[in-house]
Amino acid sequence: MRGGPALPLLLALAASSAAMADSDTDALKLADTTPEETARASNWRFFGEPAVGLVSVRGADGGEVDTRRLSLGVQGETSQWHSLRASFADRWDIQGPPSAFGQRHANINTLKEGYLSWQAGSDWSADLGRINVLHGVALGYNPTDYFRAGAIRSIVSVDPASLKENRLGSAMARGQMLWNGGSVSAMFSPKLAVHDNNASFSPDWGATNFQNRGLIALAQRIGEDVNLGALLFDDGSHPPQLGLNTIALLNDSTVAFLEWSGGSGPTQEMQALGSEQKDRFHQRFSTGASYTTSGNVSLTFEYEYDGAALNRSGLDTLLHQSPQAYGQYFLYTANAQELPGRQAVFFYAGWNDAFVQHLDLSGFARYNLVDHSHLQWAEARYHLNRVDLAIQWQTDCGDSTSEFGAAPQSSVWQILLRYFY
Amino acid sequence: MPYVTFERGKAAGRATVLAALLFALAAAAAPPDAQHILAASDDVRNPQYPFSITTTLIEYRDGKQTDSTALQVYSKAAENSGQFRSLIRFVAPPRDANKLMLKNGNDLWFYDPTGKSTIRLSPQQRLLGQAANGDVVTVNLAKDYRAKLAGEEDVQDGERQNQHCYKLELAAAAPDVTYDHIEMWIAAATSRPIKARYFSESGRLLKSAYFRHFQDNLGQQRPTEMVIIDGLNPNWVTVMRYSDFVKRDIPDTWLQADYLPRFSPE
Repeated sequence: MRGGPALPLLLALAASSAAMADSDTDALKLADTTPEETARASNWRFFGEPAVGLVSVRGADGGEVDTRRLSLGVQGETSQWHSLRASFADRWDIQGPPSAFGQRHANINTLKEGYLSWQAGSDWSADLGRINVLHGVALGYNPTDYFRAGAIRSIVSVDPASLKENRLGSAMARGQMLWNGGSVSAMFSPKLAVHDNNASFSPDWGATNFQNRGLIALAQRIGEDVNLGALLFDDGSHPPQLGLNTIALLNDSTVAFLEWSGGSGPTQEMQALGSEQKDRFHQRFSTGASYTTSGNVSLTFEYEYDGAALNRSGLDTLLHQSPQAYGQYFLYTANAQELPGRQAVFFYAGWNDAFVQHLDLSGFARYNLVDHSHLQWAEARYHLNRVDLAIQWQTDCGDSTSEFGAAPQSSVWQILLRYFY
Repeated sequence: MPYVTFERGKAAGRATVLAALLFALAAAAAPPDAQHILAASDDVRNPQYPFSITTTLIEYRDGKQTDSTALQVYSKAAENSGQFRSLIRFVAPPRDANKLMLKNGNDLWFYDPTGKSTIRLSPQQRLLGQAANGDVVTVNLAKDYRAKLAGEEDVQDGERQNQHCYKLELAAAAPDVTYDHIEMWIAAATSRPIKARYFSESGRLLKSAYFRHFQDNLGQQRPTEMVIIDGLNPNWVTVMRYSDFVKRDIPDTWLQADYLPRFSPE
């Protein structure tokens, strides 16, 4: 009788073991049917993306406007030839009607990159041409992304990833040396034109190369968990700016970051309005952390500070003095990708394979802590083998003189289909 | 004196022979060292020099193929830890082509050439569906796990043949490993990895895997396929297929975040 209770347990274990063996056999039989195919790598990637949308327009002529867009993109590099290779990236957006977005043109080609690289051994390299140089560890606002001013020619989404992807590189010469765990890069970007050019197929050198600029960037891994970066940027017209990037793994699920830039220079108001005042020390920074749940949901919170931006009283004074200058200030900060208010917070969430396989959900909210306006954006994207189908939603909220309340649109819906070649 | 010396030498010689015999008998009777078995199995799976392979992951749910990903994996062992560092280039599907992932222990980075951005990932972030990031890179288990011999068993291998195996129980000995503990069956005659079961810290079975289709690659017979079965849903199956084994020089400077924007596969 003492063995009585053990018998069912043993039988249950035996049954469970047999079921497991059966399922393993089934899995192995299924694996036997897998065709012997190996995909071959290609250095080039092409896509076509038709989209339709609905924009709620603000103002006296407000209402809803149907929008249409076709985007075509190419990116890739040639094979290496005598340590040389060429890289190229371009995007063409045809969208309308322009009034719905307040855009400069409805038919815009963005020559993102076109440069020649020379790999002088495994540790040294040099590049010459238009290069999209990105620095910064933050997600929503990157004060050490020193080549961002004027780089956006066509906006198809306010998602920060899209803004970084769809922008002009700067013409420059760049050299880089790598060592085990670190690197140093030096680059010089010359002044090539004074004004930007709205023509559809203009390379628009004036948008990116409107002044001489130089940058030295040093990066070093500190142990397994910390990476440090230091940058020195000089545009010739103001004292050099110092930048720092730190990113650290706190635990298995959390990455913390700090991106800081500081130096003497004009305020953004002075730059926007062209007024003359003495340079003062300003600092800009973004800091926060990304956390990934066990369900693979990524959450990022970021605090953003721009010491050269106006505070509440500064904005009120400028609006009271000149509404036109006030508008000019906001246009300048948008073009320079700076914060118009001194403080903001940014929250991002992303979930791959949400609820069903191949469905990715993502979204962000940006809150201007100075004028209390806010922007929300969300996307649901479903992947097929060569096709992405996505629906995007954006809403801009705030009073009519605020950063997001003054935007030409109050909300945007967009459905797009991206086909990869 | 010489006689005595001779006698003493003879006695000493007898003692040495006896000791050698006893040692040999003791060695034959002693259980084999689990850590050595594991290390030998690592050598079957991984060339112990820098190399690249193409890894194709085909995912099935309820018997239907639902996903396919192809990766080029470049691996090199670190001089200090002996653990592999890997640079992974996405080859397919087309939307992910030429994206890169770098894994150096817990130092995990993702680079998208379209956005030109290099992002640090936490070990918890997964990019490859069922396969953990740690599954697609080369891992020397003997460096990261403490092995204990749990016995010898005849088990069915991936070709549905019986294999006489050592059963090892592996406990995590490094903080940055993908799995808390592992049960592993290694063929006693060939040191081939046959089967493994991967567990979470709470003891939950996360997945089972079969190593199979052994073929000559880079100097010896190595598995060219791993069949992964989900621990919770056995109808979720991933086939990882290895091909294009190439021994190659991989400079240390490649294996860092700052190199990712410069990476050229040639």
